[in-house]
Amino acid sequence: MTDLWFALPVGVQDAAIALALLLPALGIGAVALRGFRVGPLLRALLRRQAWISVVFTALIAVSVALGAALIAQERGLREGTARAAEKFDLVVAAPGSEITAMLAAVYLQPADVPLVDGETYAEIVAHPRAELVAPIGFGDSWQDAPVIGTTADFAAYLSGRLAEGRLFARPYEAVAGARVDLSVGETFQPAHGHGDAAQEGMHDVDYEVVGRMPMTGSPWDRALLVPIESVWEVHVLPNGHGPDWDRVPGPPFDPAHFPGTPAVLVKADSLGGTYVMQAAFTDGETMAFFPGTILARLHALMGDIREVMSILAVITQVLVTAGVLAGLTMLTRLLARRLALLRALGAPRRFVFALTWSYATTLIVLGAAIGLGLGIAATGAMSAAITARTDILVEARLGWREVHLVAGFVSLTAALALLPAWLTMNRPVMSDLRG
Amino acid sequence: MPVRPLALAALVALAPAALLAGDAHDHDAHDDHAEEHADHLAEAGDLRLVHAWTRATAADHALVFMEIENAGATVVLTGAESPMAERVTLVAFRMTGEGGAYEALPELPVAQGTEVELAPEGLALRLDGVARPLAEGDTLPVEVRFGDTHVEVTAQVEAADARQHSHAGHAH
Repeated sequence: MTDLWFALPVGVQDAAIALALLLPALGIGAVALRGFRVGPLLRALLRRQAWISVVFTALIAVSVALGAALIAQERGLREGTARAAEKFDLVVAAPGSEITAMLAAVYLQPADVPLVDGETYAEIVAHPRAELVAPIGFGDSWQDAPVIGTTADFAAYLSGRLAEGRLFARPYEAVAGARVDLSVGETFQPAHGHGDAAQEGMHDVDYEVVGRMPMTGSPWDRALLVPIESVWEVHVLPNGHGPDWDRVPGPPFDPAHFPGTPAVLVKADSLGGTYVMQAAFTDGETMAFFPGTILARLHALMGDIREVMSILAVITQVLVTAGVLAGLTMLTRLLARRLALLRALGAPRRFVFALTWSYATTLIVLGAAIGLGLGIAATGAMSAAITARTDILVEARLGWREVHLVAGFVSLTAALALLPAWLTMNRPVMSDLRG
Repeated sequence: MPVRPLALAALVALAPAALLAGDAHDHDAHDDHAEEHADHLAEAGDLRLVHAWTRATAADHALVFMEIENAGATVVLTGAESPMAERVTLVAFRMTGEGGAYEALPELPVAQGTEVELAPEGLALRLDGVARPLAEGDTLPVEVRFGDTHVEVTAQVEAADARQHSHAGHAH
């Protein structure tokens, strides 16, 4: 049986789970409505109480939408951060906080970190399993765009193929990220530092944009990549090469003239090679870490938070629905006279029960369906806001998880709706008629 | 009230079990500490395998983690086997845009004088076809192969959500 279940396509499994979650509601409906045609009276009730129905439905819809959108967002953020880190197999930095180094090197969040020296850099380059080694020198900015000193090989690796122009081939040339507000041919002057702390005019040089990267969906879309030699020169440091340098930026660097780099990106020849290099450069002098591993641990933590969020979302939705059902109970009191009249005309007690339950459940189902629709819109809006703030492309979509949550919610509240239906059914007909 | 006699009966019925459980616990506490340590450490020449552990699971697969310390010449981890599993594979974690997954590695060199840590979201030995569910407190024998050198380790089964060996950080 278990084998059969796992053999099913994932989509079929998800659909089956959703259906299973809806089954209690369907079962209750089948029993409650058996033998009755509540349709015409239900429509009349909805029409007559149009405004109240709309308000109750809207309340349920908004609570369902917010719950679904929040949970979808968490998943979108997880996928977005993983995609943004995909190219960063291994990062070597001076010992310190891995998370700080990762945020700085992968997500370009400015940080002061110690430097990796020239000899260590040369050792990394010389490692037999190394395929691509590049310095990542951060610290300067232009407007809000971080200016990153690196090599042309890294720019090529990160972008795959440039969207426009060419890679930098001389000092003071730059390759712009897709979302930087500079076109090929324009120039910019870097500032020392970032944001409010940036000091304009400290660096009296002009970089020329010679190429533009395609969208990567990562904070690097906002970055300006320049030769690391230029960054060193701008800071009045040795330029990484000896005195007879031909001024063509890039490796090999001379360890004796290498001022240091806050982080080194490493791409090894294989997955195994990446782990070998991690072991080789995890010692007292350097730390080598996998951004993917740190991210996976953070994601596990986010997963725990998601569980809590899911429960909170369901509780909120149930509370809103309980409020709505309490409102419905009061509404049926107002309608007591008409319902008593129905009974006096010969309608069985269970008919009143079926009518009240189907009225409540109609509002719940409508609210849940509209809520899912609203959730899709809210998810899009939240993703756009997160992308704008972090530059991490978050593409959250409502998935089966949210559908399951909503299906469970419908079943739970359809069961709760039995209560007002039962209370209404047991009202005394005679006194209601007189009242 | 019919409830009270029932509760009393339950208490009487459960008491011996509770006493027995207490006994078992006492016995554990009296375990020889040295003997416990022997379980956490396996040596072959200059190779030391420390703190092997896995997580409690009802599934038929499990990941075994440990620390490998190599004081001698470079060795190559080529595989492993366990009498409790059909197959043992060396795997490494890789994160992609779609999420993280463990991929098989053919081998892993452990250079002279280095330590390699097999840890969650990193390297691991994946056991497939595990014969029976693993409960916290159980042990799991694994034979790790470094070419012709075979090292027997006993992995400690930790809680299902454990992140490390319960003795991690102890010096052995």
